[in-house]
Amino acid sequence: MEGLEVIITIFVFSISFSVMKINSNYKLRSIAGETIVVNQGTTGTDMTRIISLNASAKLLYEQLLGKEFAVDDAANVLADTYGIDNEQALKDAQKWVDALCKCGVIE
Amino acid sequence: MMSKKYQIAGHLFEVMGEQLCAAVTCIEGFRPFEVEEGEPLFRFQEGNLRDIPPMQKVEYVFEYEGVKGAFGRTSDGLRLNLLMEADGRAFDIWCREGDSVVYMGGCWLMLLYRFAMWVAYGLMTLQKGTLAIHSSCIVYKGKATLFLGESGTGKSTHTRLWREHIEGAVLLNDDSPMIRVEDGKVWAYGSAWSGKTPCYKNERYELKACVRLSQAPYNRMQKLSVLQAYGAIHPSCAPEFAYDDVLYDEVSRTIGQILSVVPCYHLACLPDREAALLSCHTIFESEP
Repeated sequence: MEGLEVIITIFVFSISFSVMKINSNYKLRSIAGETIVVNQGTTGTDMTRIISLNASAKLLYEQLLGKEFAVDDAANVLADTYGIDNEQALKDAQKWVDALCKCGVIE
Repeated sequence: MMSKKYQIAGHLFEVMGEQLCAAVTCIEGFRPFEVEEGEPLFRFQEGNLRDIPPMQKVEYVFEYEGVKGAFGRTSDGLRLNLLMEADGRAFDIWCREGDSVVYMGGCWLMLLYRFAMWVAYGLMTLQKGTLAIHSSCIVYKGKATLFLGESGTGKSTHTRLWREHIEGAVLLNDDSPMIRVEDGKVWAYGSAWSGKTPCYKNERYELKACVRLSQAPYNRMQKLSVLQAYGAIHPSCAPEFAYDDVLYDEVSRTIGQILSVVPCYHLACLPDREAALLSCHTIFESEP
């Protein structure tokens, strides 16, 4: 059991410190009041994904575009801007990272 | 040099060169759009095949009716190459970035040059808030409605049902109407390209609605959110322009302008009279 805990700790550690980047192929677009990202997919396949960003997701995108960052950096942006506690900020930042990783906007 | 002038969706352009003029004359769809005079916004010009610039970055490849197409960037502009897979005959169009002349040349097969001119027209009018939206377009009560969907979904079938069951419904274009934003208003124009249905009308109507179709064992229609509407229209715009940042910015801007004015719906439907009545009733908020 002890061994398992160690593995879990290392795993969590590696996630929160892994460095990510926003894929610069995707641009934020403002469409009739909404902020969206269009992921065209590769040529020849119909895999277009359109992702909608709310105000805080847009803020993170703009603040972190072009930088290498970890979840902690995203959490700091949220904590600084919205005055929320670190735990909540980290949770929200992780959600944002997960969502954008899933559609390839963050890699 | 021999030349002819045409005006599609209000954009006047000149076609220059003997072979190019002869080729355009053969396209039935161009006839209603010929004009005698006017200052052209852009030109299609017969080019020298030795001048075709090498493709530096292929952005989009595709196939239609035995033709292989490649669209992409050259060192100073854009190029489309169309190739008959069976015998290697080819047709090219190319233009310099920001220039208002599209050069074209190669093997003068209508299957190649008609499509090439559609791309060339699209390229030259993109910045003027104009989009070819792959759809079947019906006119009713003086307003246009676009029916969009993947090939084989039943766009043409649905507009045929409108014409059969709704008095006063008339087809404007069955494949590629031009949608143009002018002074905040959105217009649907007939065009020289209409797929397999020869319906080339030099007319325009204010756009009332866009409807994305899908097949279902029932009829149901719902209004789409802005995000859903964007997702409904995006796949019906020229895919050639979707992989190029500069060109797609224009596409995206125009879709945005359309969506701030025109409602968009999804219609899951059967190929029957009730489907046509449902979409007509929903769009016009009255009994047909």
